[in-house]
Amino acid sequence: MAIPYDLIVLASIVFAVTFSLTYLFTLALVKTLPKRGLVAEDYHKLSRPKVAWPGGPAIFSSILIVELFLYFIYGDLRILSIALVTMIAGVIGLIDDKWKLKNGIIKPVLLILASLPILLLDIYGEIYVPFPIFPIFGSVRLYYVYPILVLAAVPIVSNATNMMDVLNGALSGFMIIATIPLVFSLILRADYNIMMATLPLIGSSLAFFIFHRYPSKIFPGDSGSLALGAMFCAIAIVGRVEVVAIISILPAILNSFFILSSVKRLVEHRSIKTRPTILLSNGQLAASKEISAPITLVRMILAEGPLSERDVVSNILKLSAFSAFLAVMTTLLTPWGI
Amino acid sequence: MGIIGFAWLLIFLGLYIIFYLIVPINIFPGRTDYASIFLNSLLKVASSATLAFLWIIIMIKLRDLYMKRKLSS
Repeated sequence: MAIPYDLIVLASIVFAVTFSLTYLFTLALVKTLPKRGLVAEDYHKLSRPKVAWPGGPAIFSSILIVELFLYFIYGDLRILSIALVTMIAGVIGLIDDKWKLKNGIIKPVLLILASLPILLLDIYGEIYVPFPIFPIFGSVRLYYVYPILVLAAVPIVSNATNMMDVLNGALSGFMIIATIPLVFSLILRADYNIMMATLPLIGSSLAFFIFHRYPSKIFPGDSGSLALGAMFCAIAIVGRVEVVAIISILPAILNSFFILSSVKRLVEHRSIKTRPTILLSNGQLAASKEISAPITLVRMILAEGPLSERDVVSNILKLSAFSAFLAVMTTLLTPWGI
Repeated sequence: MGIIGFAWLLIFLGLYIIFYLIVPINIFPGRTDYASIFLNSLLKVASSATLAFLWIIIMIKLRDLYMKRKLSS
């Protein structure tokens, strides 16, 4: 399997341009947002510093620019659908950042809109194939069920990534690691158009991570987390790497699933009264022993004992790396040709 | 990591059950009318959904066991 030389050059350019654009846009937001009073309190530090927020526009605008550039090069409608899904989810996130949607059901319902480009652009049957490819067993016909799954997938995945945005650098670091297996499987499938369209997700997350890592200079907000999650989901659908994507994003899916099953309803994370973690006087984080506190991934990590915020994030990224490894194994076990 | 690894193994086990036991089910062999096909498909969907539900129950039990053990120690 040899990747053409010109493809490697274009991939490097796409990655570098997305990285540079996100870096510059985020830098601009870090300087301008606090002047406009757009800051959020960092609850996991004793000094409770005010951090610039939301950084999502820097993420999804740079991704949009590069994806549209790729669409004009390849003319592949799937790339356009990825760009539109990302943009719509980002705008919904911005609405949530600005007006703080209190009702837990509104955001998932709005996010169904973000999945529509995948279904609506499919008039010539070019966007998605309702035959997901499973490891070992090959592809399965899900002709009637698949569109319904598409409608449900974007809200589920983007909310799952949104719930990962709890500590400095957790979301952006997680997205970098979780996306690598997608690139690997798309190369194995020789779907170079979508492989190229996946690179902006890594490039943008990496540039944002520089500002988002501990101690954060900016938070992505819902506009960033929902856009990244929706883009990840769109790539999985149009690139036909659904199962690999599910395995790769397993920590986020389990996290949101554990939260929802412990609070027993669809809930906006801001409205959860009992916090899953406690900030100790030495600056470390500890798991709450309250029975009513939601069971989150962070609380499960901290159940072992108190840790610094940096260590918790490091553990989350290790879990992501383990999931990415399992996703690569899944890729190798998948008969892509069937 | 144990929970994630176990979830991954359960997904593969579930796929094996779905592909080798549920997909070949045909409760109306030889019949090609719409109602038979629909009922047969409905049975497969219900069986797969039961498996997914079982996966959820196992994950919840595993999580509760983990949290109970860690927080009490």
